[in-house]
Amino acid sequence: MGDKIDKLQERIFPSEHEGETEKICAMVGIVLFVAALTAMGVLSLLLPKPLISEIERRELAKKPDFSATTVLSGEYTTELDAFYSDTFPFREQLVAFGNFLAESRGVTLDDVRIHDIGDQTPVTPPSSTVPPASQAGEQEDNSSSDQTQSSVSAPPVTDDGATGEFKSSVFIYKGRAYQMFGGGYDMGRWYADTVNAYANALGNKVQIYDMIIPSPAEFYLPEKYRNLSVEEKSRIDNIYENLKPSIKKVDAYSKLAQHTDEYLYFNTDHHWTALGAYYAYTAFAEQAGFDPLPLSDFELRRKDNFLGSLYNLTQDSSLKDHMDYVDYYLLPVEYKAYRFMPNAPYTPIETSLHAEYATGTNSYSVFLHGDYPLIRVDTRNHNGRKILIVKDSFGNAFSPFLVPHYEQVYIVDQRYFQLGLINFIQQNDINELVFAGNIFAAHTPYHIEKINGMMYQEFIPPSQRPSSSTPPESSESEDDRFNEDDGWWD
Amino acid sequence: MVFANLIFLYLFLPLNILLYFISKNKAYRNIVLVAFSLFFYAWGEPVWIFLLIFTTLAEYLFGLWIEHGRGTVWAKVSMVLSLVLCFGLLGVFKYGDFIIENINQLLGTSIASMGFTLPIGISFYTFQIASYLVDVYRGEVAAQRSFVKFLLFVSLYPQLVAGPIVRYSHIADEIDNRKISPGEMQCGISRFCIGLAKKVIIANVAGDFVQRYMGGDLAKLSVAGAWFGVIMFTIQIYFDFSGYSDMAIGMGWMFGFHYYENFNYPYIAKSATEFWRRWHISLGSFFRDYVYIPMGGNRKHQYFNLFVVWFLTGLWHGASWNFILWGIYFGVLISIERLFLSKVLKKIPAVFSHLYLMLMVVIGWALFYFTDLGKLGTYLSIMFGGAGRSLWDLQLEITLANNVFWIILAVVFCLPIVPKFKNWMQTKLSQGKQLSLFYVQIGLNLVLLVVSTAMLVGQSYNPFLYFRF
Repeated sequence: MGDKIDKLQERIFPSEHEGETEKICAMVGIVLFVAALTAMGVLSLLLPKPLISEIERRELAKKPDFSATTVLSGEYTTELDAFYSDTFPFREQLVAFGNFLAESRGVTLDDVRIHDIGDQTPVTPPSSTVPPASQAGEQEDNSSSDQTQSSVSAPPVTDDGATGEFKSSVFIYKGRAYQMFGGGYDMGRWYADTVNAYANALGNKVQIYDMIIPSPAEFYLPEKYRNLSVEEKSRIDNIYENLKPSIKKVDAYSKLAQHTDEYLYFNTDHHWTALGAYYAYTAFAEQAGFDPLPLSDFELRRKDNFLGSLYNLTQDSSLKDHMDYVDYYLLPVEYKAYRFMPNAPYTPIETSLHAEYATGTNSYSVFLHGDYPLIRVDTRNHNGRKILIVKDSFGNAFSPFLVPHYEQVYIVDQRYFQLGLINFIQQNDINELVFAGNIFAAHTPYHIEKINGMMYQEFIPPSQRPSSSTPPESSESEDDRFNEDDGWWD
Repeated sequence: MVFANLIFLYLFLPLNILLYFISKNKAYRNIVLVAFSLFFYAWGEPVWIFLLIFTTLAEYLFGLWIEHGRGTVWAKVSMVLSLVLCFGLLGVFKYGDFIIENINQLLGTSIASMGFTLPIGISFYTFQIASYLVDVYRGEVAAQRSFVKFLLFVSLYPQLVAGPIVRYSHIADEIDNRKISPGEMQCGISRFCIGLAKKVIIANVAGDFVQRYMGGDLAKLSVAGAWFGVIMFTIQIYFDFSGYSDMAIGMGWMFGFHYYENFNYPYIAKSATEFWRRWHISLGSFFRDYVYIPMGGNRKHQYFNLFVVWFLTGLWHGASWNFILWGIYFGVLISIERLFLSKVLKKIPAVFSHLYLMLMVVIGWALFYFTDLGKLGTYLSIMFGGAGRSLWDLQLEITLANNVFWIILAVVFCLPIVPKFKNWMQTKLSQGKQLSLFYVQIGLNLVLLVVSTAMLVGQSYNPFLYFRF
């Protein structure tokens, strides 16, 4: 190291000639800068703080409670930071401006844009629709007990990027958003083993079906971009090959593939349409041995102006020009539906299968009112057939179609159901069981673990949970706030 | 707290400026700065603030003892004890677990780790304090008699958590006497806004790409993707670190302190030796003045000295072998340059020496990034075609197209175009035109502020989507 460093080591004095005019000019700059900061700071303290964000469909961070423990652990300041930026003045305008800038960072050849969204750890939904951590711990304890030899442990993690977790990118092509699928064979086998465990536990008293729903990338990406997302047919075949022969495999894939010129998936949301679900229902009917009703038997209704989840996530301007609409089909039969709220699995609340008031970005919630742990549907049929559907949110559009063919239909959300499913099936004399989920979920550890953990889990009422690990219980109305009923976003 | 943060920008900073300037009383102003600095530190480190204050108090007393015993053996004893204390604390809190881990591995023992979280800024303030103590021992500066003023030197928040490493001798006068002219303050504001923009508009965006390409799934990375990832890291780390230094220097000017430059366009260097004269200058000069030269410098066992300095430089960056590897990597490069390579580099066309340096730096950043040496090996082998990956991938192509303007901007601002422009302005333009450009700069500052704010707010955009389906 030589002597040059000494030259660089000169202390820096900004060189500005300071005549009177320069001084005035500088004062203008100083006053503007300090005034801008102060004004925003004062506004941030004085303006009313919003509690929810409509575009993000979530509760904003709340002002943390001040206590010695939270301050010393650093929790307080972290939460205060989150609260401050969540409720910053003009936040939505600033976010929109930031998105505009992000889209201006380059060019879009071929109307193509990739949104790298980093690790998109699933955001915890507002209030506690997800069973608290203590509950998850219980499930693990259970699954390691003798009772559940059939339950499946995770396969060794191979580094083939096979998780298929939603972590990488959303691909926009000509005004339509695609999630890029990356599922691997190991993960698919794990999923299949998990479903097989149900077959082992239930024996031949219950007919099990499995239906994997492909994503639109499989059908609509042009050749050039096809490789961005892992090919899905082989991944579905992999799962079906690994399922026990007694499990019936529903070929939704082929039915969807025959109708790709129709409106099967949304442009701006990651779900499928009710029409897509209808074709899957015809595939299911083939396996279940009944004749599907023709579409004309249902009464078609429509929700316009739907900008869905993938628009919310990317805020991509090209999606705005390809707004979706949500069609839904009212059933031609009479039924009575009951839903069961989180933390209240024994308390039926009468409900309907379509939430006709759902609008805007929440339009997909028209199906089943959103995601509930359990919905039970009683019909006037007396054919002895009782089916239970284990589903993710793709199942919401699918499940109603089964109602005309069964005496009872149970719709279980694999993320939120809190009772032991094997017991539940046996106690209710359910004789058919279908796993209906999308291909991402079938390759995602979170979902597979949920399906597995559900077999023998035990419900612990919130009041009996250890208080340390349990977040403050939310009341039922808060749960409602997250689902459709209170319509808080309108 | 950090600078690129909404609470800092819109509550802390304006309040600090307003309270600072309502009185001209020097003691008052120092107390305001100390109070804000401690609050700033405690925001992120509510516990380690006590360590900071304890260290400062102890070393303040040691400084007085060293001076008191000057000329006697007690000066040396106190100095050694004082250094043992500050480097001992650094060793325990920053390197304790690393040392235990290595002992366990080497001897098969199972000593429990201490599990401390790293106190923010400890590497910076330890070095500031150490340089003060040595300078007092050497008689280069007088010991500071006021504890508050010494605390001000150590904890001054602009440089507390991310440098530059300020030497006491550089700002000793300014602790007591500092003048702030509107022109300098305005320059400080501009410097701050530029630093903020470097951090938020360039470094953070590059960081997203780094996370995706270097921190993501290496199994699907193409050769070009690997290069893109590490080049993005090259951009991220420069704009992040130099952006912080710009903000520190700018805020220093706002309050009347003049720091030294910490970065001088390192990526335009033509050799590793030159790179380190331009990169993190305050660290390089610390090791030169307090390690390399006292050990004998170029005169005695030079290559051993170089090895020690670069081992320590690497270690300073973090308690992990890859940082040590990274430091030694540069030590070796500099030694080779000293032996013969620098002569070659001077003779060949400049473009080749630039390419050589950038290649070495980029590989260096790969070493720096991966604390897991196995992953590092995989990554380097992908970069150099050893893993049999495809050369190019479509997703990268789309990403490049989607970000092409931003990439050009990031690369161009690695070059000294701003100083070149200022030079041109001062020599070629009339006073009047210069003044109008001054107004342009004021406008530009506000634009940078708004854009940075929008992007900071955007980080909190976190829609709830049924992504668990």
